[in-house]
Amino acid sequence: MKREREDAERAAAFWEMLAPSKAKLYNFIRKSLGFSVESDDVYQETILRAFQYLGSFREDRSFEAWIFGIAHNEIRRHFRKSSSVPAGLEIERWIAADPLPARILAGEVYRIAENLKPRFRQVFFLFYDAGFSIKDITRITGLREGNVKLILNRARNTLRERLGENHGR
Amino acid sequence: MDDKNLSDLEIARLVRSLECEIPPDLDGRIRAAAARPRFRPNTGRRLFWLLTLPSGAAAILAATLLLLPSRQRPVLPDISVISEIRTDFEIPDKNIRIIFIQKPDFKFFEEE
Repeated sequence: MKREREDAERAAAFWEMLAPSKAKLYNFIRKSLGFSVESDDVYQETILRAFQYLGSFREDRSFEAWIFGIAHNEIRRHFRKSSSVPAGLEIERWIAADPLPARILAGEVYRIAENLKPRFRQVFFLFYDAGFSIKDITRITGLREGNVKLILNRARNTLRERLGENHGR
Repeated sequence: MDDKNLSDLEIARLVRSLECEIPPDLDGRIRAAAARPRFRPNTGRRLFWLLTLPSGAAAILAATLLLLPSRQRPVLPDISVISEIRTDFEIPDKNIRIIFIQKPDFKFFEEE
């Protein structure tokens, strides 16, 4: 009886902690998987895994960084099982719905991101979409700080090279 | 704005301009799955007990076996220290008897 009450309290605390990060987490997974139809499954698996292993979460750490670490592992597991489905369609539909210059430019950014290696793409979206610091990204991905900086620098330079001509017009 | 200087802030703004919404039924599905016994939270505590209980039981068993009287060593009687070794020789015809006595070292001369 006491145990059930404790479990219910912990579950309630988990959903409460998750609430502010849900949208960010969902976007990170979806974008890292190139808007694959399997994104929802990976998102679900991430949350269930986090829920199951809540006992391993240390309260002195950031919950958001912890759950993004789990998402990072789930995405890697997904890529080991199957290669990603190239996005394209969802972005094209999004641009077609409202073909503003900013959207066309953003679409270009997504096309470039799609060509990055899966691990690099995760770093890219952790930084530019989820807004994590380089230090947090090293904790989430297990990459060294120098590698994270290198990946971001390369992505930034590629974007500048490709978008340089069209940007600002 | 400089064409060649696409800032981090601007890249972030472009990336975030496309926002995917969580399908309304997805949350419900996840919560329903989480309610199944397989996904009970607090596995850390269960794992702790799973690891602690068998080793604790083994420690108690080992202590009990060691403390049982039948397992204790029997108390041996004190062994007396050999104080000397005696060896006898007899020469019957000459009526001579030689006795060697080996004793632990002792001081031959008293020190002044």
